[in-house]
Amino acid sequence: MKTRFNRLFLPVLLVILLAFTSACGSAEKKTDSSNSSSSAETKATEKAVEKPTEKPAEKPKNTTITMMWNSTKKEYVDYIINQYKSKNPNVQFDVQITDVNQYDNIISTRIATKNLTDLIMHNVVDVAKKYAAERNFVDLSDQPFAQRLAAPEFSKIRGKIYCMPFSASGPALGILYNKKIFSDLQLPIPKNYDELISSCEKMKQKGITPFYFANKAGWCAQLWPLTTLCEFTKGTDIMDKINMNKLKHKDVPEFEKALQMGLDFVKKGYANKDQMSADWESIGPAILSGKYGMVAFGSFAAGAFSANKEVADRIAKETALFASPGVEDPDMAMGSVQGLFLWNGSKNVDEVKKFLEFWSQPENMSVEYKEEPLFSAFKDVKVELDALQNDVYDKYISKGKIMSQYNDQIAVDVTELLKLYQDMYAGAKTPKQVLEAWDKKVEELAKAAKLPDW
Amino acid sequence: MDRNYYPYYFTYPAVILFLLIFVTPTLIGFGYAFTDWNIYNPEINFVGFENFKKILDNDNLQLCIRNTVFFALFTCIGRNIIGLLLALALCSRLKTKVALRTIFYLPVILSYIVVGVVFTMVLHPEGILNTILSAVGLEFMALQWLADRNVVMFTVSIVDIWKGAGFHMVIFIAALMSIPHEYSEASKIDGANAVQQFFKIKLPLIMQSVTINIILSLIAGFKVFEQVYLLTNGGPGYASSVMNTVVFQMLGEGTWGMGTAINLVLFIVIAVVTLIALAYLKRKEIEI
Repeated sequence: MKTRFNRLFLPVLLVILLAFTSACGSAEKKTDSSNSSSSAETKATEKAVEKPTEKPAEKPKNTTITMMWNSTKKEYVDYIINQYKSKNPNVQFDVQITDVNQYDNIISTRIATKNLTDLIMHNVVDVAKKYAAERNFVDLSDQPFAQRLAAPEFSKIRGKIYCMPFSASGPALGILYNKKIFSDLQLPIPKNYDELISSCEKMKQKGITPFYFANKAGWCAQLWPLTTLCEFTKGTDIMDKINMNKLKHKDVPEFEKALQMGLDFVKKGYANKDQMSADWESIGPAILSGKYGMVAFGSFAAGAFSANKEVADRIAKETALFASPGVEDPDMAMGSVQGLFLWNGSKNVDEVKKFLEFWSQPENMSVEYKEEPLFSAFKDVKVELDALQNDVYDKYISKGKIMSQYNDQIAVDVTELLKLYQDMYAGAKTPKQVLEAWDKKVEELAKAAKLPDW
Repeated sequence: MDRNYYPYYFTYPAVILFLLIFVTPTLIGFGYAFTDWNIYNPEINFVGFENFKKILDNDNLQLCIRNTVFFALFTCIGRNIIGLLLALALCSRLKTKVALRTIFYLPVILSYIVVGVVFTMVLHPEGILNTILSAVGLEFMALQWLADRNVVMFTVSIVDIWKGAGFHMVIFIAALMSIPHEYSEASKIDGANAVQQFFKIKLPLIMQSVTINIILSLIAGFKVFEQVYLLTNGGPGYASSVMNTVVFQMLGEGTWGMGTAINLVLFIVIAVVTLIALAYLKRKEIEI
């Protein structure tokens, strides 16, 4: 009996001791704070007696605004933050840079653990598809900056604005080419696939590799299909049917044709041999080297390499963009708008809204556009576009020859599709197998999101 | 009787913390494996074995499972054989054995990030390795080590063996040094050569360390993540994807129930394989 009692008593005593010591710690803290508050009260009383008519000014609360940015962060971010801090000394910033290839993984993890930063930089379409904007982000439609937007429709998710956008529309996506190579070889801008192949053949004969692929980066591997699939869906109801579960990708012959076109660049020897190990950072130097004629990229090319001013300037001057010629006389595919999204779990919502309003002011947006020219998001902010972007604007945007990219048209997240494209370029899957695997994934994701008709 | 149980009482706080912080969340996690938990919907619904059926139907996931098993077995064999050979060499009469033990152990203390960055450059198509191979007339061996889907898993495995062999070497050295010299001397007198000495004397007497090394390397192999993530991120495509990289990908995708299901499968595979290996190897152990 005594033995059993001891066996039970000792462990219980140990647990109680542990709990007691932690309670003592907090009790001491409480005592300390109550002591300090009572002494503070005494001091306050004394001060009140001395100057009964003066109220002490309220000190603004010290705040830290946290922000997530992927590894393409630019200098203008630091400039704008410093400007805000100089006007609001009580506000500090914590900018967390994440590798662009892991950005979405980290955001998903932090949303799941309710530990997201106050602000994240992302694009409208991905936030709409992946992150349930209505649940996770603050509606900014009533903010003053939202009334100044040049093209608010491109920033909306189901009728509401959840970000402070950086541009009126996304970047143009197509084939970036080396102007000197094209002019030296007297190559015309290809208006269809046959002309493109003919240009590739002429370049190959002169010892120039026609295409540079950086397929190690999934977002680069998708660029040809991204800009070509939408050429076949423009003016049709194909994507509506796919999104309503009335049609499958594998049943659209044009989709297989578009993927095969991209794969043929590799099979016919028109692409760099290290296409599966080249990463996106190598694109800038490659297209300027004179060894490669073209790369599937976008009008953001100069901005993407702004860390190296010389490369960025040369890209803006020495390259130009044409629409991927998967069809006759194609339109230019346009990407999604990027901006800053305010997490609805933030403890500093008011301060962050103030910061976003500050960022959107012309004097700050003009600094951003000087470093990274984009199509201006605001009616009262003018942008001096670089030569590459002006060319795209003149030839395509001003004439209305634009269309939204495939990724914006499909109703589900495309992360898996990027891996499937890499499998295709690595020789593991045929275009048909890519489409079949993608159909399965679309079904899985559509059912998980409980989309209608699935 | 009391005094025999007394030391156990002091383990209770640690056991309680372990149960609360580790075991309970793990069991809750296993529960999520049977749901459709995802980022798109706040509701979590029980779906039974639906997630496991999807794992069996999905070719890419089956490839990941095969890659994981391949990596675990290949690195287990590689680490232990190389570790044992190094231990045997460094227990002999070698003047520089202390320095060599340090050199061979150094890769173990390097962080995976450092190893990943360095080997990504070394194994680049125009990196040091291919440059040396081309320079000595072995251009045919200058492969795309991290981009060719036929060799990428071998490459990642070999990098892991390079990094991990030193750890097993140290355990084997300790075991070899605990064997009394008299056994070796007696066997020499009886006319045993070095190979016979190893297989008949040393190996049976170090079986406990062999068991530990094999079990540890198997578990580490099945749990592979950093090596693949840092070198190839599972690419090209799914060619070098393993179960943990796919779980991480599903975390990013927001299909958390599916990711948890794959984790549960991995847990079961590790538990079954290591228990079988442990049961078999334990029978081979003998005590001095």
